[in-house]
Amino acid sequence: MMRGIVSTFRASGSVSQAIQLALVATPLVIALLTSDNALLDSLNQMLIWAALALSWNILGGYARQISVGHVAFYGIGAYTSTLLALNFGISPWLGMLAGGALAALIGALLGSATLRLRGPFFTMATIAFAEVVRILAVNWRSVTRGAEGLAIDSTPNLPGFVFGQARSYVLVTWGLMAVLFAVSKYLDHSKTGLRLRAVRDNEDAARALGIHTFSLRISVLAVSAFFTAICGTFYAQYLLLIDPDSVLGVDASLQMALMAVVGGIGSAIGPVLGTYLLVPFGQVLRAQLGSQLAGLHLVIYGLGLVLVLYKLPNGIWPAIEAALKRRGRASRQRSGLPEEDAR
Amino acid sequence: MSVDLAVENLNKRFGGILAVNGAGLRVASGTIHGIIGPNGAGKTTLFNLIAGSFLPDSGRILLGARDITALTPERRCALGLARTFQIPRPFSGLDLLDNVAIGCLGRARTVGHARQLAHEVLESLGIGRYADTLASALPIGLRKMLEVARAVATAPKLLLLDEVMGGLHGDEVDRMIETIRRINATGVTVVMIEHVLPAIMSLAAQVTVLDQGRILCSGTPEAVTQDPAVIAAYLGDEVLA
Repeated sequence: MMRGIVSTFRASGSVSQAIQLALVATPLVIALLTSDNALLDSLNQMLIWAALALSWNILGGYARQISVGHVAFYGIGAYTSTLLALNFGISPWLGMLAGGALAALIGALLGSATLRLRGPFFTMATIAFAEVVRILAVNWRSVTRGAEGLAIDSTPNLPGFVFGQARSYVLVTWGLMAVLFAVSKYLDHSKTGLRLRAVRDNEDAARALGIHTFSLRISVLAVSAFFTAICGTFYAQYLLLIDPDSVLGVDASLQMALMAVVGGIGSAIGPVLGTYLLVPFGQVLRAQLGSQLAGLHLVIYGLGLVLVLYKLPNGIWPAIEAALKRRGRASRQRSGLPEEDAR
Repeated sequence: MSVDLAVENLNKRFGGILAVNGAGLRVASGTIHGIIGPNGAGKTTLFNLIAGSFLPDSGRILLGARDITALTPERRCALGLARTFQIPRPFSGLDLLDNVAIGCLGRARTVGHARQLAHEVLESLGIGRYADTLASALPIGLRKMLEVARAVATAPKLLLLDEVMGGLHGDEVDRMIETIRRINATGVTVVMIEHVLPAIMSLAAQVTVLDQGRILCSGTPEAVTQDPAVIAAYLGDEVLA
């Protein structure tokens, strides 16, 4: 995997790579420098969203299967690790792997039933699926306690994945995001990544070249579901309270997709960038306008999204990268150097 | 590394049109077999059935001893069947090398290995210098070569070529003829649909003529082109009257 990542870095321009690394590292640096709890709190929320957007992007970006039901996996992760901890005393560190595995399994089953559907039909099936999981969580009261939700004991302890300091949360969540960033990079430049590019470009040609498109999509969905569930555990351990609204609401499904789309799907840094812009934007708007006119901050937020996607339909990162390429070419021409080799 | 192909009594109906009507075909291992016929004769549909893009309504397709009638295209590829598309379908966001590398993935350990194998394929077809060109920027002649290179990359035993000469200039046609001859010389059985008759005449050992979904006749190129039924199909009955 290491070699894959290294060759990845050689693959594209060094300026682009530097920006990407800086973007990934920035929250870590801020977390180490500040002791402002409100800032750390915002930072942690942002990092969870970034990890979610990255998880979603594995399916939505690399396989171009647009899911608006990913919150189901998020909820499955949060509920699985929390229930295992509350009922059997199993550490959430292990419980999140169980939740991830369960989500991957359910994702594979969902995929084998729905991934033959194309375009909007797959998307609609994911919405229905998420709704089923949510209704199950609301009504299976003997296990989930329904709308009341589940509370986690807030005594700080490492095996229980409960920290006393906001900074500790930021550090582990940053770790999760960094892992997801690396996994995304690796996936993109692996054999699987090349196969996914082929399927994205032309499915018939891909199949004629021996690519098992259907099972490829199912495995990508399973991986995406696995990581989305892990994010669910991180969220549960951070809030120490989960209920169907918070971890199974349709808003979260849309949010993680939106962040990836605004940043640029199909790249590893796009979802990260999208999250960095949208989460603080949303928080600032709510803080400034939330008390003035109900819903005004959401209207402005929505208008902002429309504007960005109208101007940059492929998202923000692809536009930045194209600009970097143009600049690189111009400066090479000025200095009389030959064109940089594409590989 | 070659294999024979048998198509038995194949039928495919699209609505009211019988696109392929009781077609039968035998292609001997290691040979080049031409398929000709007027536009709309069902040639490409026949190819799509052999390659697995469509499933036939009835009939059988045998690759060697193996019945592949119901297999998916990707399974057929794994068994050694490769095809090109009449209208090139490059992975347009990728360069020529990666297009071909995707064909090599099945027999490569890593992406690097696949690219290395792809380089070999490109060199063997004499188009190595375009390796870094984006597929969307390739002219039609090279897109046709891309189709062939990508198919060859899967290390096929049977290669289906769907009008790879269409739209090519004279010297490009000559180069393509040479390329196909070389591929066949490595033991690959070739079945080719072609409108460029001189190419078929110089390459194919056997030719099958398709008209309105039916096999009109099969034989050597010389025999087939002199068959009155074939002339009638291409030029109309009046010519013979």
